[in-house]
Amino acid sequence: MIEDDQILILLQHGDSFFPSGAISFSWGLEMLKNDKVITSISGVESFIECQLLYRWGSFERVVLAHCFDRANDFETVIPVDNLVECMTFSSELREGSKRLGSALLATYSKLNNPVAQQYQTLIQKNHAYGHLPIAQGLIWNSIGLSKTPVLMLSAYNFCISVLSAALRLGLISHIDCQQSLIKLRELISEILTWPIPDVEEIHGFTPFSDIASMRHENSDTRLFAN
Amino acid sequence: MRTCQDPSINSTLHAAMNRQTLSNGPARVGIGGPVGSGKTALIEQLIPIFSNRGNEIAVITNDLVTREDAKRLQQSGLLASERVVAVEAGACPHTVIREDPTLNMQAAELLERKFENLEVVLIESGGDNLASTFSLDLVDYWMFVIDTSEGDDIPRKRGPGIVQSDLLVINKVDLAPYVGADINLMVKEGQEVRDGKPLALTNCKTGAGIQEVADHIINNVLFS
Ligand SMILES: Nc1nc2c(ncn2[C@@H]2O[C@H](COP(=O)(O)OP(=O)(O)OP(=O)(O)O)[C@@H](O)[C@H]2O)c(=O)[nH]1
Ligand SMILES: [Mg+2]
Repeated sequence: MIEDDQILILLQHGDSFFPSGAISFSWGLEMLKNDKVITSISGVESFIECQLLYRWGSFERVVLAHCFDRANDFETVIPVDNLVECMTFSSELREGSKRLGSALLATYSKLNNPVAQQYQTLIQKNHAYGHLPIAQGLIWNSIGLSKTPVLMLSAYNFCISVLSAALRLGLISHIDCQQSLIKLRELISEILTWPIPDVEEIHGFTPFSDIASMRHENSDTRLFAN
Repeated sequence: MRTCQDPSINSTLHAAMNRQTLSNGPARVGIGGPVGSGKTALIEQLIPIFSNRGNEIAVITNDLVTREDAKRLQQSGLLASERVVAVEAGACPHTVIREDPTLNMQAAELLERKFENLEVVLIESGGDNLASTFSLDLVDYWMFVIDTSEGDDIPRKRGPGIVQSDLLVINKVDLAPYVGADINLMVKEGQEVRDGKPLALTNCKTGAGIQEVADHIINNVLFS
């Protein structure tokens, strides 16, 4: 159960009003739409399901959980940050993760959060990368959230970021988005029952979005940064 | 602390001065306005003025779908191409300058770290409508560019961009006679809705009026 005092914090961070920078990213969807690989709501839904099952669940979720548990120990967190850098092959997906991680840290730095300020300094000195699940683990731990809500928040934010990109790409309607979210909630809940493996076991297999985001690098038509 | 000579000092300026004293970084100047009003053309005219004064400059563009403006500035020869950075707006040009300017701030901070002596960062918003305004966390000063060919009733329509900007630029004065726009009316009604805040007339094809725009920037956020 989520304690009452966490609910308002969750609402604040799961709301597109929170300045996360996520609005500029489609995680491969823009190129898949331009290439006519994804043309409908069912395509968008299976794109998100695959991302949750074969990337978020086996990769970001694990990184986030480990980082959350060790948020006070930068020496343990930094190697995991390096691992995310090495294991995210497409450059636009890698940059996207770093830009959003840095954006979260920057916002919290300005809110005088010491963890954010310290980690930001490490990034500026090139001692760390600041990938998104790392920044989320550090910050969301520091503001008093517990682990399960943090994992939910990360999955939910990913889903709404892709759905809102799909909406702006003209693939789905606002009602479709809510319909999809209802279905995706079930999948997120199921993934949250999976055990958390060792961080060395993180893996992902999402060839469509990886290739699409690589193709996107050279695309002149770009509403989104990936 | 640097002082300000401009009589039109307002709350925006106070905010800017606070930020300048705190961060001591380059002045960040936002340029918003409807599609095609001449924002990039104004930047092309402003760059040589700042360069001639010895002010180091960089530009961030928020092109909507392409990197057209960023490429145009990079290829212009007016400034080194690595001083122009494009930030994608995800089809939300309003949001990335107001509700969620984090990625534009990130780009500005990267430029500031890369070019130590940077003094001015111009941030061109993606062409939009009359409702766009800049977050004062992102910029120290911002202007809104409209043009005579959009219709001489634009100022009195009181869009937030027209009313709230630090400087309203009415561009393409050369086109007014061809579209039947009354510039005097635009100026009069612009002044009425802007509560005394300044307004400038420009022709970005010839450079007329550009020095005045530069002077506003210099007096309000550059100070030297
Ligand atoms: N006649 C005339 N044309 C101008 C003037 N300023 C700009 N233009 C032209 O207007 C067109 C649009 O100018 P841009 O500078 O691209 O406008 P913009 O506001 O940056 O456009 P977006 O970024 O697409 O919103 C170009 O063809 C310019 O050459 C002006 O003062 N007079
Ligand atoms: Mg432009």
